[in-house]
Amino acid sequence: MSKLLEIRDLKTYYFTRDGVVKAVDGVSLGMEKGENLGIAGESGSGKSTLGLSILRLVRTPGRIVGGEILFKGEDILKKSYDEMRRIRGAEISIIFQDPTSSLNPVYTIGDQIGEAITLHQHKVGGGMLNWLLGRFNLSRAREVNEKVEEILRETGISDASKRRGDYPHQFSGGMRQRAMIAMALSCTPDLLIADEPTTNLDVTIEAQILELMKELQKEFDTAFILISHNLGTISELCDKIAIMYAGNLMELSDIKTLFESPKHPYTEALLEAIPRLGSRGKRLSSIPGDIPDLIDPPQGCNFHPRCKYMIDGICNRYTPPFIEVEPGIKVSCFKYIPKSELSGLGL
Amino acid sequence: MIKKPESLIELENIKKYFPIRGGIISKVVSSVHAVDGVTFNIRKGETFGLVGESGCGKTTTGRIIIGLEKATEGTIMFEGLDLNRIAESEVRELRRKMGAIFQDPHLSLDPRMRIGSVIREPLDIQGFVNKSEKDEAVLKILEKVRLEPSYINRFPHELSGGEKQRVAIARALINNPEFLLADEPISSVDVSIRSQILNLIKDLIEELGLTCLFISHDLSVIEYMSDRVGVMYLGRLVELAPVETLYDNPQHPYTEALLSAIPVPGERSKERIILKGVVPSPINPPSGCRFRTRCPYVSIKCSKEEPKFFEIEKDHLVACNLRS
Repeated sequence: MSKLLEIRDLKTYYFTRDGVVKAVDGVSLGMEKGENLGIAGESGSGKSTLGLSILRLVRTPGRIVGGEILFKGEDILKKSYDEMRRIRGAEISIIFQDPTSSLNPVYTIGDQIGEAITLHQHKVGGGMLNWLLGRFNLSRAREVNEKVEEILRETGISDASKRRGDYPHQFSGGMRQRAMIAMALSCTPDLLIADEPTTNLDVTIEAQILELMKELQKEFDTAFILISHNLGTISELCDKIAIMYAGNLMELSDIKTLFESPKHPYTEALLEAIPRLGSRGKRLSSIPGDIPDLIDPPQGCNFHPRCKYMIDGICNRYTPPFIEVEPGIKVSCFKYIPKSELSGLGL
Repeated sequence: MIKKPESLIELENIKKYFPIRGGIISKVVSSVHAVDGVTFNIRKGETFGLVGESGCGKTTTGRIIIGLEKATEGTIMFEGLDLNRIAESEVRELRRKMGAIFQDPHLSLDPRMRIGSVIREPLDIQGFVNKSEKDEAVLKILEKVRLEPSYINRFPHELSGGEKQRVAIARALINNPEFLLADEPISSVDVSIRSQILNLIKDLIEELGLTCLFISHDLSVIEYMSDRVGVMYLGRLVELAPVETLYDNPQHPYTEALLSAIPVPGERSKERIILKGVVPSPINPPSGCRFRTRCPYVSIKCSKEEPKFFEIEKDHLVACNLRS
């Protein structure tokens, strides 16, 4: 059986006036059906670009310049524009950080969720027709409306039949994000990409949304990718986690192992540098240096200028391969390659 | 002999209402109760952490203390001086004793000024004339925030987020203030740089003997930085305690919920208190206890009676009807 999603050596670059920004530079990862993967990384690590690449939503000056994205065994990068439109929303859906900018302010929440349903399920005609049908309360439109209410109710919006007619500005931030999740799940996609879905929300609202996503995940069995800079959020929802740094995947592991025994020096340093509850009295260690400039990344491993295990002559010259060090755990670091094998890699 | 801790700053029933105007003559129709009766003191040499969700009034409280906002009601004392009653010239003198850093260093640095001038500007404003002394002070403070002397000739856009925040810290500290306001100083800094900035602020507080008001929405950061912590909700303080007490033995239902809501890296599915609903509007806050609309332990008393902010044990204040 082929994997749900298989990314091979994906390269997405932004061609800016100042130079080529290698936002995603050779990322490979796979996902099974119903699996949840968290992608963690700092701003500029390429995690969002990776998410957008999967849906082919990268905007100019960005372009996918290499690699393959196999979705259910077929290469998404070879799909036509129309085929892509059918995949987006129906098979792969995405939620962004800021629901306000993804919702149209002049249509009601119900209309917008209904539109997603009608477009992808081909049950009724386009927006205008749907509006007319709804106006005269015809059966097909009623069917859509019922579906909309059902979804809204499922995402925890009380009084769904009334709130369906509200405009986005009448919803609070948390409710808007609920509506976005409702919209994304309305067509029961096989894969849901959530890009920092709770970053703009307050802690207590974030807890509500995470709880909701957990429930929906159980119910719909949708595979999802959660992109976040917050390792706590990812731990709450995902089983597997991928750590990105400066356009590269550093480590792919299950959540438990990652926190118990981080393999990559970056992951290790990062875990020691995050303030967590219970940190009073202790001193956080910090990672020296700064994030590399992606227009002119360092030669070799992108993390080597900040790495305490740096092997001179190797880490600063060659790019480490992304290899399996334990079953299910992949790391790109020369630390895990025995000296004897280094020569075998052609170094 | 135990010396009573001395207060540097005392806030007494501070209120700040922002008017909402409407109609053709721009009459004040209602107001946003951003801060609605906040009383606390900041002791000399301590770091006071102020935590709460967006819109709870924590930033406004900070701005009132450093004089960027005028309180609608209440008194603020700085070293025993009532800020509302002293002359403008004295206020300026006092302001030299206060430094501030904010969330977004990109916004607080003038893009056309070189870093040297950015840091030196507060000295110019305070009327220092001797140029070599000023240059020396700039170099000294640069060293303190661990930046190379060569940075004085650079422009803000040449710096990374972390470096910009360092410059902002240098600028805040160039006048040798006694008090530092740090309002969400790491929110716009990258995760791997955050601990550098936190440790730097912590070290400088110690080294320079600063008193600090540290504002953040992040409870883990507040725990790391503070000696005492105040929790705000909808314009009011709901709990105030030394950091150990607050985190180990929270007494207010809101503090309890906040602490339980934080997703912890590497952990999952612990029993969490999920609060229902959202924070009510500060334009028309609920009667009685402000938290009652979301409180899991709400009783009839809570809608009628405003809970008093009282001392439940030494140094531990709570505003909750459950505890009184």
